[in-house]
Amino acid sequence: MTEWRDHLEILGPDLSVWPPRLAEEAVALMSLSREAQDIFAVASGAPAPGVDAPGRTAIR
Amino acid sequence: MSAKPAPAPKQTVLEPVSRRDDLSDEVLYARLRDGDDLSLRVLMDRHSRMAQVICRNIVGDPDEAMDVVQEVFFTLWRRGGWTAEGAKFSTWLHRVVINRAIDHRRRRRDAPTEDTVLATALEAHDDHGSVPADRAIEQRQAGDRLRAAVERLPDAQAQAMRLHYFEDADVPEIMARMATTEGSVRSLLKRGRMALRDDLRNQKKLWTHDHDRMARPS
Repeated sequence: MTEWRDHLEILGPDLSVWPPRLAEEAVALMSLSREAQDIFAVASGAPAPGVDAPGRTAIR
Repeated sequence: MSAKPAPAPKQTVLEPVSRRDDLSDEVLYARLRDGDDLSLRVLMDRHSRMAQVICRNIVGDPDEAMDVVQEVFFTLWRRGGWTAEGAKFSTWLHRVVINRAIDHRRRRRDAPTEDTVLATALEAHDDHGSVPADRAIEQRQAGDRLRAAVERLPDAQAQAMRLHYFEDADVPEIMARMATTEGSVRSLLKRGRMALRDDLRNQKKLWTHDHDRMARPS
């Protein structure tokens, strides 16, 4: 998971700009691991799992 | 064997959407499962933008991401799936979106690249007048191919196109059956048509190229 975090930090969460082989590995990892999915969601801007969005206000 | 008594009809909750804005996701979800469809709208307002960002990061295309997310919310409305024992609602939703986005990405990668099916089907639809028997068979096959081509569209687009073109449903009916807004339905239909048209244009280019090559003296 450390490597996964590193890749996300270096390349960002947009898989379309990743090298194709690396992007496919990322997809394969996420299809197997909820933790990898949660890390990806956070890297995309989502609140961390278990943390409520501030004020629970609507995102508009 | 005694017949099971029919469940009491659910009471429709008629109150403005704004009254739901302060409710937690979990309460909104529970109300949605209890028949309060407007709770879905609040959940969509709250989560669809983030869901689309996550999805676009995987599928690469914002329009396709929107379709995938709409499909997720449609499934949520139809079947639910979240349970209070697991992750909080938004975490669960993001996981579902990621899984659907991965499915979509893989389906797109594995989809047949040959465009002849669609092009032949649309050409047959444009062909009017009397048709010989062998041509009629070809046209029937082409109709089947057109359906197949529609099925290859992203799920939400395909569903809207099916309802509109094969079941003669108008926009309000599609809105009701897909539990989505007028804008979304119109957008799905527009993009579905564009996708089919683009395929046809690409195929016509290939035809012209092939025809030129055949006509050219060797």
